Amino acid sequence: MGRIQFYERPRTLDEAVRILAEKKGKACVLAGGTSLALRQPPGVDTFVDISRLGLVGMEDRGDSIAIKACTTVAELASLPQSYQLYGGVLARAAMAVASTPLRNQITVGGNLVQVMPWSDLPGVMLALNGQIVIQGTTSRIVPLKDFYATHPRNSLSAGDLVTEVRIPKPIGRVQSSFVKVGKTVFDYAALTVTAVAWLSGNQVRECSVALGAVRPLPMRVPQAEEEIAGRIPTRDDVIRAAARAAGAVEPSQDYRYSKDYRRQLIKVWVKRCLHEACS
Amino acid sequence: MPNITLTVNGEKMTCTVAPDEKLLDTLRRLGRTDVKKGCGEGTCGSCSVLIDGRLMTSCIVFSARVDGAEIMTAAGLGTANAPHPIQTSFVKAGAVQCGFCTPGMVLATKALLDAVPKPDVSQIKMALDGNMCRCTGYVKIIEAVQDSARVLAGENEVPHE
Ligand SMILES: Cc1cc2nc3c(=O)[nH]c(=O)nc-3n(C[C@H](O)[C@H](O)[C@H](O)COP(=O)(O)OP(=O)(O)OC[C@H]3O[C@@H](n4cnc5c(N)ncnc54)[C@H](O)[C@@H]3O)c2cc1C
Ligand code: FES
Ligand code: FES
Repeated sequence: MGRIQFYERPRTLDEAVRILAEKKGKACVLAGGTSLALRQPPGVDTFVDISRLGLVGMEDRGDSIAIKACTTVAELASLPQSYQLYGGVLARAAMAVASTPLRNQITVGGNLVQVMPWSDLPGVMLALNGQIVIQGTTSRIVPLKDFYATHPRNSLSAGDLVTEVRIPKPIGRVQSSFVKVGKTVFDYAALTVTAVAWLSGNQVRECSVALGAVRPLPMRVPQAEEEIAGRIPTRDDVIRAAARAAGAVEPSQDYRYSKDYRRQLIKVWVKRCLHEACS
Repeated sequence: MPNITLTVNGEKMTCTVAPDEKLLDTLRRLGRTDVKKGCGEGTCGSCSVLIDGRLMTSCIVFSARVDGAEIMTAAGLGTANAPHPIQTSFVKAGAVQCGFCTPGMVLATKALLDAVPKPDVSQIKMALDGNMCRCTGYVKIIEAVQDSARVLAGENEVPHE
């Protein structure tokens, strides 16, 4: 360590954005710090602490709900809306992150930006059609589908700061399911699955299935979604959707889980999650 | 170099820290060696402290980030001469072997009991999910948490044989 020379504590968002822009890649945003404590991006000599800019909590944005970037994972898990919206998948996913002391530190923004294969929130936000709000040199709103098409570090420039993630409010009856598969509660995920079903009566109007931890980036599985959308899904439809998900993904392999094992996990857990979301 | 103020176990102190210094290192430098360094990367929980009442692993908290905060370490909970009921319960239950995890464990217990005075076993396990113990096997730690909850609620203690 010792490469970090300066610690900036801006009072406003504008000031933070200005410092980031001026420092041209030599400064980086510090949110929860749980990742920056262990490794810093190359060439960075300044931390810009954004934890006191009031970017905390949820806000109503009309047709969506904004979760502000510096909301901790523990705060997300305890907000009433996390239980009420989408059958509580946000709360379930938040509680699946790391451990109690870490949930008190990790921020929603940090979890979404510094996406590691094991990050638990990106998958669930992707399944809920979330959008990321960026302020910086150019301010923009990016659907998570595009944000995760490549690693966010490629699309975020040095002056960019994520201020919030927006989740569309559910329309009609929506059911969902989330699971994190690991060896202990405080373990990196071998797999996360989020399944969401937008219903009209018994018919699933739209369906989303997102996987985390099987590839470097979270992903949607349209092959599984199209087996369910527009149907009153039967058990066979769900089994077929899960098999197609397993066939469509080329899982990463590491010292704990082989490719084949992860594929088996996908087949089993996509089936169970879709079953829960659709019934 | 950032100047920061911390209130550690009720005592206000001001110090200069490196911009990337971790709270664990600051606290130990200030003589608070009851905060233990295990892994140094957020996985073992031995360095846990309460920051404004919330349990955090101080090895991955930047000191400058918690400027102005109130910190409680295990010695702030109670000392050998004046132990807190949680600490007494840990001793009584045999939940301390080498003792390295204990400062973190008792603070995790404090954070839990402040929020949930009568936790069930699954709530206890959840609250201690970031604190590893390589000696006890956890059974006695869970008993200690249950015992301290009863004592703090003023209920009769279940005698240990
Ligand atoms: C031991 C351990 C276990 C973990 N286990 C899990 C787990 O099981 N599941 C899980 O989901 N996560 C887990 N994590 C957390 C994860 O790996 C990251 O550390 C965490 O998500 C980073 O969030 P942060 O708020 O601490 O970010 P920081 O460390 O503050 O920042 C991380 C990066 O993101 C950038 N950044 C942060 N916020 C913003 C923003 N608003 N705008 C622009 N850029 C930003 C920073 O510049 C930096 O490059 C674990 C972490 C540790 C240390
Ligand atoms: S030393 Fe901090 S968690 Fe292990
Ligand atoms: S008593 Fe030795 S690690 Fe817990």
